[in-house]
Amino acid sequence: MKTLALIAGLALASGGCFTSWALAEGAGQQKLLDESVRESAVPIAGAREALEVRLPLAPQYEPQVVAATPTAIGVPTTPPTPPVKKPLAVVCEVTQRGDDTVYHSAFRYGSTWKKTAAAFFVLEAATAALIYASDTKNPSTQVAAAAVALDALGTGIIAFAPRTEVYRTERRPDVTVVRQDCPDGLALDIGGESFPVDAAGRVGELGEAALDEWMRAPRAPVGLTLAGQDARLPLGADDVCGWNLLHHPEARCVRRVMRVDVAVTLAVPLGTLTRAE
Amino acid sequence: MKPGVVRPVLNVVAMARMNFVMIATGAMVAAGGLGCTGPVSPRAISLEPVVAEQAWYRAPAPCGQGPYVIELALPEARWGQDVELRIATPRKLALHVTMTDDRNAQSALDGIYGPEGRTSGPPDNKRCVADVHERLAASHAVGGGGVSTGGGGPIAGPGVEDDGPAAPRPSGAGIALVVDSGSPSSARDIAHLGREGNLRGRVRVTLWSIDPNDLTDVRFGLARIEWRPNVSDGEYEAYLARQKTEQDARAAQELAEAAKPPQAAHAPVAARTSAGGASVEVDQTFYGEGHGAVADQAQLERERKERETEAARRREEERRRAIAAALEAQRIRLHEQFCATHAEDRDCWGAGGRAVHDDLARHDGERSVFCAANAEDARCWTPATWAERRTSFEHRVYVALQPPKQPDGPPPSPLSEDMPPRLSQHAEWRPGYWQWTGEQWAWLGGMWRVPDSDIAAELTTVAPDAPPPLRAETIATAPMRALIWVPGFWQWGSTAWVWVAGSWQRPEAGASWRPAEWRARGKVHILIPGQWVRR
Repeated sequence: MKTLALIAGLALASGGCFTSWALAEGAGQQKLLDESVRESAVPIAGAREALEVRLPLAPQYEPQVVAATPTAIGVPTTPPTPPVKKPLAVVCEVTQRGDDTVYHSAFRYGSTWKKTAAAFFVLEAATAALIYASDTKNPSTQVAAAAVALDALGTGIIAFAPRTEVYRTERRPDVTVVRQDCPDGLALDIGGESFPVDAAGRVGELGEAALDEWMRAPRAPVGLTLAGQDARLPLGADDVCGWNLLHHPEARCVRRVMRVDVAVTLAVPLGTLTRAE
Repeated sequence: MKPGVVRPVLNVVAMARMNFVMIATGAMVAAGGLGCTGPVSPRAISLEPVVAEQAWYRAPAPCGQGPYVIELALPEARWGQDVELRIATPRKLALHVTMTDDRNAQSALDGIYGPEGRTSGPPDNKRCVADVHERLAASHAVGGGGVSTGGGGPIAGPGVEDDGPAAPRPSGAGIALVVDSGSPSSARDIAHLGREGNLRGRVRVTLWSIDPNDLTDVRFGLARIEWRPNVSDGEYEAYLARQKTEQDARAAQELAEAAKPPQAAHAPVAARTSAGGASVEVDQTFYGEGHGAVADQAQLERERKERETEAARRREEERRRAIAAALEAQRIRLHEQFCATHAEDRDCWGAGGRAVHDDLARHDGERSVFCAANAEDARCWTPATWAERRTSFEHRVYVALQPPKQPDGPPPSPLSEDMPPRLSQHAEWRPGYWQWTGEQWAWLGGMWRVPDSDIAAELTTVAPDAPPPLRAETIATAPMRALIWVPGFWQWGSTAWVWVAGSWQRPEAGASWRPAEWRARGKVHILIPGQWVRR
């Protein structure tokens, strides 16, 4: 009980209203306290468009549907079916990145702040009293109660902070994910042979087999091509080993790091991939 | 202090803030975002509510129990009109409300109304009613053991009508409310008169309460909602005429169907029953059919009434929703009008007053200019543009994930093939076959499969001379994308050279085709057959 009270007291004090406010002020994060925020974001010219393609290194499986049996206890009558492997599919994401000039207007210490602070004051004061009353003779309980009471006191004071108006301008990065299908013309280039990637990211039976062959005996780099541009997939020895271990249980190799996928980014002129097709 | 150190603690503040943001976002979506989520469908012809007039009233004294009366003269409205009583109150009030018009259309209700509309619990009227000590003193003053029950007693709180009985007085003796020039920022509908009937003459609204209400800052609003077609009157009349014709046709059809004899006619059944030892034959045919027809008729009638009731309920709900939307639009318009003449009102302009508001508006203008020149910048896309492009992108994935089309029937009969001379001692002939491309059948020609061991042991065809130059072949378009063209070559047929034509072949996974060639071995030439080579 005493320990619980101590923990509760310290937790509440450390995450209390006044403490949080003081930390926000100290860290220069006062904007967290803004209310009635109004903003106008003006895009800054020069947004960049790019296609990021991720090649998963681990095989993906179809979700297995297990038929419910009327009797929960007993030996299954049929052996479990092996999981069905999904076709290899790369993951595509087209994004536009740019910066906005954001004009931000808000109140600070407005009515919402005052109501919240008042509520916290009451809550913390009551908690401090409860903690103290739980064991009046234990010094650690008294310390916890005092901590919460101090926070309550601070909260009570800052509840009366005068309302201020904030108007500031800042440059804010803006990342927009435009689409997550693979665009037309994207192809996986394996050892000089090109395998088209469909909208769902699948490279086809032949592409998958070719990539698997490549992983067994890497030679010319694997890359992606799109509209005359190409980019090499940064497949390292660890990735190749990881692929082989995950796809071929009999494979033997040692890898130091494990990545779940490898990614490559193709930068394109704005609007190239974001028009409706 | 380093930001990294305080981040976990700030998360607590951020979470609390997130709640506000989520609520605000939800409210924004509910308020205005819904109209932007999809393509706009063509507008159907209908009547739409328009707030023709709206006035706000307040009580002449801060405490009172009424009856307060508001009267509203109704002009002629061709397509119907409703009257909506609204209330803007900062506290809970107990109210009895009656609304009548000259046709005696009536709406009466009573209840507790608070800032959020109808609620429960006692009204917040402590300021206006006598407490227990005052009542005790009053009872002592009149020398009785109880409290005066009307007719003017000594009990009077601040501002209470000094002769106010606890029961409603005749409507003719109501207290007029004072017209208020302001327009509350939020109000709730509490009573409504209309319900698909056209109101006429004057609407009289009477409000009263058993105990006095605290009416400080309470406003009562009366809005006249006029229904107007969203097309010209002539077009709407034509539309109504069409509707009526269709309705009559449907009714006639239903009647005709109801009048038809039942499909499964009962065969006459003679039931033999025993009554008092005598055998009686009862023909149940007439009874059964007659009873069934009556039951069907009653059932039909019940269903028809249920349908009508349900349709009327739905219509009424739609009307109320439309009226609420019209009133809200009216409130926003009035608020904008008010703000246009109150430059420093914080409720209008937010932090920084009108100067900052105008500055933000100017920046919104800059954004519009930028977006007009940069239509491909996703930051500038409207919800409609997003919807169009997302639909297009998602459709591509949908199409790609569709299972390949299956053939409608079996493949055509196999084509006749001339088997070229065997390429090696242990070569096996793989005959040609029809390959389904997902769209059509494509013929993959037969070919000899030469084992690697035959090539290594040079057990392939041996020719006395070098072959003639290769023929130039016309390569047809690949019937499907995954096929590889295997070029033709010369094969020695014991006595003469035979041209083995090229063909499209399905490659082995990860393999490419190495074409056939002839190599000289002393005085003879030996064939190195083409084969799939792992890359």
